[in-house]
Amino acid sequence: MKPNKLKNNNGTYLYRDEGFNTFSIQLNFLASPDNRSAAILDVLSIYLLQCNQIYKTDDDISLRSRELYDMSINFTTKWNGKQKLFSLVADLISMDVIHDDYSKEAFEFIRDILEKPNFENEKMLEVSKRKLLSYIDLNLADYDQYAETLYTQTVLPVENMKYDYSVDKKYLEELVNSITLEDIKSEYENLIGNFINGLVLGNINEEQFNEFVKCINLTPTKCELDYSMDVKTSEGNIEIEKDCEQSYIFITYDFTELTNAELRILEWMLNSSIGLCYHTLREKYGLVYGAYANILFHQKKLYIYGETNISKKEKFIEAVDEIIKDLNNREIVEKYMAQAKEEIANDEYSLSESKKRLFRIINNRILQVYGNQDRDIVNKEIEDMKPEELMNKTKVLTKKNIFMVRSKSNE
Amino acid sequence: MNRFKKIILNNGIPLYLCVDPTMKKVFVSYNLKYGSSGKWFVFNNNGIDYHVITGYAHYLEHLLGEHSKFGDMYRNFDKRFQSANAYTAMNETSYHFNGKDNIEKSLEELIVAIDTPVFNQKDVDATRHAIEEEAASYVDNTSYNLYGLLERNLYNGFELLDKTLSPIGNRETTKQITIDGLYDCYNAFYSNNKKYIIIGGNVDEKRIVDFLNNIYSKITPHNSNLILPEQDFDSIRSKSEIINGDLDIPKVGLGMKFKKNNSVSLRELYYVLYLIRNNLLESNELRDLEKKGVYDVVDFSYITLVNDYIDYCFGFVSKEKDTLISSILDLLSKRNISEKDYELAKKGLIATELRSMENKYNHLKNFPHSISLTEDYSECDFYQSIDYNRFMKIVSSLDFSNYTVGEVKKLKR
Repeated sequence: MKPNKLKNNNGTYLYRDEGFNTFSIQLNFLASPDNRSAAILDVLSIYLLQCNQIYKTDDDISLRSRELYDMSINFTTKWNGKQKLFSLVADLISMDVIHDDYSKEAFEFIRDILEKPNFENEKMLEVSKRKLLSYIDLNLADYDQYAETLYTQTVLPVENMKYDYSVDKKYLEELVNSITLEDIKSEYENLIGNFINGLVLGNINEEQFNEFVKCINLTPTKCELDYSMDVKTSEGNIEIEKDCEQSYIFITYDFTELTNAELRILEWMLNSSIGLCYHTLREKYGLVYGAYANILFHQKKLYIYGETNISKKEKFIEAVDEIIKDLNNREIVEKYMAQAKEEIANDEYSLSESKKRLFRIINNRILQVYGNQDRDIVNKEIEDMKPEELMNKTKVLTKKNIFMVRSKSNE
Repeated sequence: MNRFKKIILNNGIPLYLCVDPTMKKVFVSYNLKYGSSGKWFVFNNNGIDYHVITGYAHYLEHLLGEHSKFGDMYRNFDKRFQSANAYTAMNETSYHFNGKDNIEKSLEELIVAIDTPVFNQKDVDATRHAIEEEAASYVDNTSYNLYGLLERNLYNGFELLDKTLSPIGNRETTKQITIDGLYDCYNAFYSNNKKYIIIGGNVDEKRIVDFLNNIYSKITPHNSNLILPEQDFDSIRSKSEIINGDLDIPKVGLGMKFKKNNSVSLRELYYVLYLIRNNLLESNELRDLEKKGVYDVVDFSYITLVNDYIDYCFGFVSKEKDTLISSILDLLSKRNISEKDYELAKKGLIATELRSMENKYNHLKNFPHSISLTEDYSECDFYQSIDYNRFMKIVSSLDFSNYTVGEVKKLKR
């Protein structure tokens, strides 16, 4: 992917590919990051699709999206270091594929959903709040989700990252139920004035793209994105006993600093289908079905996760230690690095074949992991990287703690 | 629009070939019309009766790929920068890969690995650990268990799913799987008449067909004398069952089954049911139930093929089981879909198909799921061919009385 393939019109980028049957739109806004605001944003993201000045009910919104070839439209929130991004995401069937130019109606629908909210419908606010509580409840009903949420909040608490919903349901209910129409209105007014940028990707021609930009008429604010994070990792191991079949183990390590290029190589070494997690934990010792490592770039943490029977806990911990040692074994690092370089180079070739992946990469380049660093520079660094450069970083990995949601069965 | 060309190879195995010059990689899958369903637990092969437990199809899928005569076949594919995997579904097993280079080498290895098994007791034991963990990972999944309960209780003549409610079984059933049983299942079900190949990409038809015929000429054809017993697909095991799950708000499921008849093909029936399902999920009436608090969230909605039946399974988060079930049955059986709603639902279905085809590799990977219904690459033309009158005629013939209700909630121990 070459950056010059991106066309920019007033802060919104176009990446055109006629190989797709659809195109996707993402509009990003900066929201305020405080704790209560996180809950307000979640309610707002549901409420905006419940009623509107133009579309009185969610039935009207649903009907309109069905008329527009089942256009999907959603709002999401995502943390970006110290800031929170609020995004509109829409997916549309390409007008050129179905030979029906419904672009005007489709773009006006998106604009109306975004810009014509109705903040006077108490009933829909209540429905939105109940839906949010149900979604959270549903997400946490399964132990793997529960374990991951609790791990993030207990071991890796980024200040104000998310309201503390898994630990105290009563707190969550009170927090969500206290939200008023005035709250979501003021949150909306704050973020709608903070348009950061947009991305349109897929089978849409330039004329239609320009029509879209004109229709939504948003001007980006001059705002610096802040990727830094303050993480206060808890000390000591944590075990939480639950009535579950499997045990969910997270082993956390600190590292000092990684470049984007080192991050990509390390991720490949750990997580590819022949990576160290799969090889050591499943293939060599048969401890897990699936396992992965997650590198939290801005938090300077790495954790390895696996689900296993509680009787295999000690063996699992030993095997993870072995993985970390292997990251400092010159022979292993050389072998994996060579594979990783070729795979990453090959990966570039296949980008245009999956929109979801492409969307993520372009988005990351503009917004997230890569920050302001050009992707071509990162790739050059990957190409030039020597094993000892990576080993200098991985030899200072220090085990921070072991977090576990474990079954009650006897060891 | 892409099309499949169906080519019968010299040994009788069909090849579904989709030549697409726009694809930068080549997709290959080697597939079998045999999967996890309990309809294959009882069989006779070469005059001998067999009765196996759940999990054999899935165990074989692991063994044949990971312990082949080339070692772990997937590792070899990885080294060639090909993405490879396999899956076992209720009705099919599929081994697949895609990549840019060395396709013929991997294709040959794939066929030889699947057609000439070499796994021994050590390999069976080594595989057991990973499968035990995989099986255990589903035990606490309440949606998975509810869906399994509905499917199990829809059939009484045989165990579509056994008591574990999982097509791969649990830790205990995995321990009981034997090497003899694995070879018995392999010999019975991995026969040439159950196999087919799918290839998509910028390939030369003659070259690939010649290549496949050449590979197969070096492999002894695998034929079996499989006889499956007559099974009763009509009766229902249980109208209602509650199982334990650690949930604050219960999950409630409704499972239904619909049989094809002489005037409606399975493909038409599937289409009509798919459309009714989508129409229900988008309906104002269903949203009204949500607003009234009859349910909180739709957890899942699946449509599954079981021989001449099509199963409907819905899951909800709900404290109001009785009101919910009677309302859903009422909404479905009223089936007053207007022509406008029909056209909208059809439009949505075509959009869904276009979205699915966008990721060509994924579309090809999923093709085995629908091969019992259609051998076409795309269903768009078929959807367009069914008008409102035909749709309503099929709708009016549907019988909504074959159903079961399931619930997952905290039970006192």
